[in-house]
Amino acid sequence: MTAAVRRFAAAFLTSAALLLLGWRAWESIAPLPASLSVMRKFWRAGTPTRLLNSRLFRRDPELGAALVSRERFLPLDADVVLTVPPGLPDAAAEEMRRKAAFVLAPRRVTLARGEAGRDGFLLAAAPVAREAP
Amino acid sequence: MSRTASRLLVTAAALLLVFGVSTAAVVAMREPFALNDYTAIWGLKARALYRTGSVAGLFRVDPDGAFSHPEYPPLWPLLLTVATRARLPFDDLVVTPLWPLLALAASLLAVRAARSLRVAWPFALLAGATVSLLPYWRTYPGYAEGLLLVFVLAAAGEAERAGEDAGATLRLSVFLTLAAWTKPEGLVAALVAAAVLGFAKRGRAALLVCLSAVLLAAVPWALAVRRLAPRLPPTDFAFAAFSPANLGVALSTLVSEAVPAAGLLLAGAGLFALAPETLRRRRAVLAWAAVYAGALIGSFAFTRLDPAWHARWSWDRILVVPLAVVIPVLAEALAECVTGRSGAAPLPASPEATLPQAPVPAR
Repeated sequence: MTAAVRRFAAAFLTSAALLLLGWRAWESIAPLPASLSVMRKFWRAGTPTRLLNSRLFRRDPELGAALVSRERFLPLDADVVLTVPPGLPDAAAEEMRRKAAFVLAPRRVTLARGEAGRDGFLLAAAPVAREAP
Repeated sequence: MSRTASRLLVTAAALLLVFGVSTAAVVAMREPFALNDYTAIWGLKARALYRTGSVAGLFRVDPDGAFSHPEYPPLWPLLLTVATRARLPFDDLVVTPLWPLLALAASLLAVRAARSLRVAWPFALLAGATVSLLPYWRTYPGYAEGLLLVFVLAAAGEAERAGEDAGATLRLSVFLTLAAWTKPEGLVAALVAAAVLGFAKRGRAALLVCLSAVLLAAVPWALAVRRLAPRLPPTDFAFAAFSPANLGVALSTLVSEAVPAAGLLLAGAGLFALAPETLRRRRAVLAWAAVYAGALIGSFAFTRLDPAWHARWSWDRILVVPLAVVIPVLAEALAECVTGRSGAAPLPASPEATLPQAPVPAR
């Protein structure tokens, strides 16, 4: 293989790879005006609004609002029980628990099954375990 | 290569680097971090650390280790916590500028790693641009591999002189120890680096890297976990779960997932095929990448989870680290094809015909 062919082949492979990577990077932010507009809105919003509009609570705004509200008042050393309906699939219940744990950290969140009210969940401080005398 | 061509290449590479980091910035900063592992592990721990100010808070939030991996080292959540201290109350948006900063740092460290191989500036800058364009930065904002990449690329910039220069050996050990404080894969990176240094007859450097990562990162954190965790956290891997079938399923999943990236992988392999001198010179770096990737992929044989699911959700995050380390070597391969010599080769008789090279450091 001559030096010229080698140079051309290497330049072609590199250009193709960089073009592909660059195109994928562009796709991730296209359309740019929409991305920049969303970016501006997020930066201007308040902390709770930001959290409620994040992808975490996009499909579950009631849970997000309840968690943000409870987070303000629950003492940090209290654990929390999240009650969900008995018929809710395990994966969906676990997802709700993780969302709750994220917002309420460092509080421990445990799941319970039972009457969950109109919103499909109940949040309550866990009863304090009493040590035996 | 002419001076004009060299300047054009420098400009194009610099623009690509800025473009790569900017797109990572837009993706990260248009909404708070809220992806799976961020909410389940890294952000959760950062919030717990922020509100309690104590490492013990990391273990209280998920005492059963059901989802937060309490055994993972705490450096990334700690960094997120420090970043959010600038503003009250805790706001995930405040930490998002960290992400493009990590992408920029990793890209510049890739340039430095390429320069440590004596790759000419235009090609070294291309290595940095390629790292900034890795899809990882736009797919997983908030995950810990970003910080891991920074430390491993910083270590890659020291590896060439480790064992021959005391300062480089020390810096290599420090960077890999910090990598081990970032993710368990960081410890694997350090141990594989120690093994490769050992094979390259750089025994002292190998010993320092190994002892530093084990004694200053793995052991202290393992002791902290034992002391602070209410019970030993479950792990995703166990010797008892060993099954060759697990590995087979994981490998077939990995192959099917990697098909869309096949063109890029073939381009990289093609460059190496065109640059035999670079391939020969950089066997140690390539061995490190192969053993690191092999060890982590091989670990799927021991997974306690569904191997297909486990491989599907982690293969690209496993492979991004060795890939990033190989990119400066690819830049050297490109330089060899274009200029006719690899980075470490002596200058030809008429230096004006080529790009100026960095001075060879004194040994």
